[in-house]
Amino acid sequence: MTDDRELELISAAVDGELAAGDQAKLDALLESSAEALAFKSELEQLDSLMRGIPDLEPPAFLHASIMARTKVARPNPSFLEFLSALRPGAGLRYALAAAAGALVVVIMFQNRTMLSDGSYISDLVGTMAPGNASTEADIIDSFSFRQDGLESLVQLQRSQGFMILVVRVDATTPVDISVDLTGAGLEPDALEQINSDFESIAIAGQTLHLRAVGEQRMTILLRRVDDAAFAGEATIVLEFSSDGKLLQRGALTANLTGVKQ
Amino acid sequence: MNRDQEFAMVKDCQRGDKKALDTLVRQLQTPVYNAAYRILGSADEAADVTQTTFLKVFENIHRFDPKYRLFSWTYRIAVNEAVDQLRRRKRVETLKDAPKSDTDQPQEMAATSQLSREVQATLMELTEDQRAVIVLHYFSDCSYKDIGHILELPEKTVKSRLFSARQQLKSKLQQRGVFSS
Repeated sequence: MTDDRELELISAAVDGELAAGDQAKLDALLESSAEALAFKSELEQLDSLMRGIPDLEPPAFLHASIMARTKVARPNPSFLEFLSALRPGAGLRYALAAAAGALVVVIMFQNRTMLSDGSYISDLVGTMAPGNASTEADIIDSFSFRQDGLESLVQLQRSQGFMILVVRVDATTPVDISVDLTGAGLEPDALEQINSDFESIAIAGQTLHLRAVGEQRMTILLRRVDDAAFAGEATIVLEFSSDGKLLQRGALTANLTGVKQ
Repeated sequence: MNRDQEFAMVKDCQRGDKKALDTLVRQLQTPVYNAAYRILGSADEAADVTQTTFLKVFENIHRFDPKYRLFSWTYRIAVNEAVDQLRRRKRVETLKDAPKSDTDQPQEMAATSQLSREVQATLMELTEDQRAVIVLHYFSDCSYKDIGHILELPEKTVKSRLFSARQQLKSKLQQRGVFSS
């Protein structure tokens, strides 16, 4: 009968963890015991079965949401230059005016977010035409509302082949925001908070969940992806709720022709 | 990545170099996410645990002891987070008597084999201790020494725990008809 110590010896051999002096002991055991040989074969089969299970891909948002929550307090004027160089429509102009005071502080504590190619969103947009007042981001769609202690402005912008979703909130109590990209043919490439500290950033399937209180702003760089459910026009659905109660629902739509993958 | 490269990356991370932090996340997010998923059996919770793990890694990177490997230090945080999450879940389930969701699986799971689902279901039948050691051994490819460091156990205990966990796993897989010797 093979005892537990002998079985552990066989296990160590299958795991590639056999101690130097144990090889002879193992060889002798396997030669003398059919039971030991059968046990070894069984372990090898189990090993093969378990190691044959493929790794799962983390959700597409995961990397971006981790990096968005890391804080490196260093100024990056290029992003501010980019913002100030935008020639927005009336809605954004109003919002920028309202946020002007915050922007002064923004530059001091900006969190920078890196793109998949190793550059930063800030650098990307800031280098489109540094210091050039003609830099323009087209506002594709937007909505805003004020309700129950919550003000928000959401814009879908397009600049140099990228779609940029900007979510601004000013909430007196915590607000949960879901950004549903199901079937939109888009996924976040990077997220960036500016002088903001969202209480949580989480992902579930193709939906990004944010929780915020106070005045916060999130910029989400979106890139084109192959999506079987994509119906030719991107629709991004946002829901704002508090304490489980839906406060507002809005949708932004865009044509994705020419948007970078 | 060899130890020298790892050491250099840790130094960069300690200086607050975001590019180094980014590299660290890119290298370890998939194994950390997989380990968390196999321990928790929930894609949403695995993503949360992965995120929390890296935030803790960043917060504590200055305390990293270079005598250990970065991946085993990161795994230690991840496994502790996953086990804490399991305990939180138990408390919530006790309070709410919430049924377990079987829809919370990564998209890949639906498309891949029944085998992957059966193995995950079997893992969830093991005790937390058994599951952790099995996950680190089979899915994270950790040595006995690494597992010992991650779970803060002597190598001898790792060996015996892995042995008994594997026996349980094998027997439960046989009961499900997934494995035959």
